[in-house]
Amino acid sequence: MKAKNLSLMPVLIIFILFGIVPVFYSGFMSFQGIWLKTPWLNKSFVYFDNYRLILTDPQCYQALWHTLGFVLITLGIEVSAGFCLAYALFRATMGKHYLIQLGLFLPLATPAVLSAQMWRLFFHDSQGLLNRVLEHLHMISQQIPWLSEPVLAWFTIGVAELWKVTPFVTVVLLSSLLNIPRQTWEAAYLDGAKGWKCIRFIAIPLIRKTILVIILFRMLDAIRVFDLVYVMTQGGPGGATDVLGLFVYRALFSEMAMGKASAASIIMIGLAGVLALIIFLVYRKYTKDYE
Amino acid sequence: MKIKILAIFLIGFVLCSCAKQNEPDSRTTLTIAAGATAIETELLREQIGIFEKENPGIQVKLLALPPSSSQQHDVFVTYLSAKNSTIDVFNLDIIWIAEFSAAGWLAPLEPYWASIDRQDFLKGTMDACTYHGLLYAVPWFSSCGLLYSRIDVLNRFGFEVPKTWDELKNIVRQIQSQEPQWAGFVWQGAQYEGLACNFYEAYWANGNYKSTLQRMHESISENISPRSVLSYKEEDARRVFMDGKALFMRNWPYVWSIIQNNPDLKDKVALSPLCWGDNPQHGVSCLGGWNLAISRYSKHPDLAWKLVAFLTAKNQMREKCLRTSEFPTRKSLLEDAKIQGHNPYWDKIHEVLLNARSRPTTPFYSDWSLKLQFEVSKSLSDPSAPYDHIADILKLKWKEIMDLEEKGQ
Repeated sequence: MKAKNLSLMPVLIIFILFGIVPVFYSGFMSFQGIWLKTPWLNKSFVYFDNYRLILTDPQCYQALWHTLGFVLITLGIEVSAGFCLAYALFRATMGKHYLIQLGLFLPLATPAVLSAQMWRLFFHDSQGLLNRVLEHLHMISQQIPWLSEPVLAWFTIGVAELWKVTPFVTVVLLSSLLNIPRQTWEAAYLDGAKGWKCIRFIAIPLIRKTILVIILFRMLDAIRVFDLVYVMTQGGPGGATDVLGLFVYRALFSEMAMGKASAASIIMIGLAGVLALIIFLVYRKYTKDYE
Repeated sequence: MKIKILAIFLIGFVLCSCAKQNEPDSRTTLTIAAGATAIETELLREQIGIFEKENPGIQVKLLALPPSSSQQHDVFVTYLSAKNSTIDVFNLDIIWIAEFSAAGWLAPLEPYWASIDRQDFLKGTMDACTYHGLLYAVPWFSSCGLLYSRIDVLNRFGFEVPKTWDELKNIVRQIQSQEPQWAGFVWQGAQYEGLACNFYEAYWANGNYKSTLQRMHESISENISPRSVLSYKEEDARRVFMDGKALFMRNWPYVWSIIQNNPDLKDKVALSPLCWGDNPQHGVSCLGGWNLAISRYSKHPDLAWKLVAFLTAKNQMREKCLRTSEFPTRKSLLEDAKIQGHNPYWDKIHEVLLNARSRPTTPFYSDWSLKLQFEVSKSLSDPSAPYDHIADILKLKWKEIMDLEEKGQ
């Protein structure tokens, strides 16, 4: 074996051990009936029972739609807001103000649970900063039930997610914008391109690869949303903010059904795989067109 | 030069760590896992210190867990399902015992039990620690839902502590009509185990699912409780109440000791049985409680039993009740003069505790409770939800749980 290939081994081994093996093991367990609470009912092979159990559960579909909605909406806002911010920063500073970029990384450096707890306290119905300030300014007569009203609860979760992720998108897109050769812009100015045309015909096409990669990463991340919802609402009120991550968590820790939880994880992985494939096909198509 | 200094530091560090490792410690280490408030943890550390002095051969490590009981549950499940022997003694919520013993994770305590006075423990708490006729845990302390009232405000308006739902409603309305800043009655309505406790208390007072849901609905729609109770857990309700924003609160006894440490509120709060129902004699409350159990995977079950017996002995239990306002699980302590003197409302509480009921004892309790929380929370957050339908769903799920249990045996 060549030395070049050999140097890949450590990463490959770690990847296989912690990335591939667990997925296959989960797949294997998803066909087993493992109920920790009632070990005497365990079966070593139950065909597709676990999948049937999940796919006939209305709560699963509820969680699924919530997750997909969350992915689409936050992704749309993150990427468009991130791009606008990046472009504005690019025009205003040409990337010379490193402090701004450093500041943008702060939300991302905050541990997810911490930021979720922070937002929970910020929006807390009776103790929250927001309601208290609004009350002091006499802008509201009754506390706004940020966390106990389904739509508002989603709004608060969305805000927490956007706060954390948009700056990251901004920083990546900004660095990509800075990589566009200066001559391109100069040529565009000479041809009379201004404002929207610069964005539409120069910025977006030239950083499209980065945009697509960002969409891919963010999407895979958003599908796994768990920490924010777990800390802020635990899926309440009445399952209005239930997501797939919580569904798996409940199957494992409350029902203690390892098989069912594995099957649910496999469904989640499958879903992420399908979405990733779509993005990948789009990526291939768009990168070909322009080359 | 720099390298030399660095080298000296490194060598020193290595030597120090070697020295530490070589120091022989012949003591056996026991680990107890317990999640608790600050006062409780402090007390537990003190009691462990006494235990270590009495038993020089044993060293006890305290693994402090997050205060939320569902998070503790997750930690225990993670350790026990992996057959991990690190933790010897667990502090278990009353509702987990059937589940954990069915899973075969707890050591049966029958062989040890003869060494302490079984008769002294309250029957309700003992029943909850028993699964299929075998005892799996020792009741450490118990608690039950209580109604906290702002007696100073009530007296100002010429009211007594309410005994029925209509009385409570009337008081809240009258006071709100003159001082609208008061939120009436706060309880725990977030989608979590606390909602199940609150639901059961209302259910026992009202007799069936439908009228229970109706009553809880009414409390929100008629502004007896603020809508935000739907996101409250114990501490949220406590803060609102202690901020002087609510007239009534449903909570566990631990809040009493916190109120007693607050000079502004100290004499302004009264305790009484809950009043979700129409019958003044029927303030049934939900039995909560924490119990010490020994892991089946423990390497030193005999020593672990020593620790359990020590912590649940009369003296330690009395100290715990006095310091944390939790309730004892020993009958002899209910009559104890010190404990009676600790709380002026003891007579009433005593009665509540004796009448408190426990949530269903089944290994499938958490499946049931999840469904219950989900449906009740959904019904409360949606003003147009039909109670009949949700009551039917709950009945169906309960039947399913009973079938599962039959199949399991």
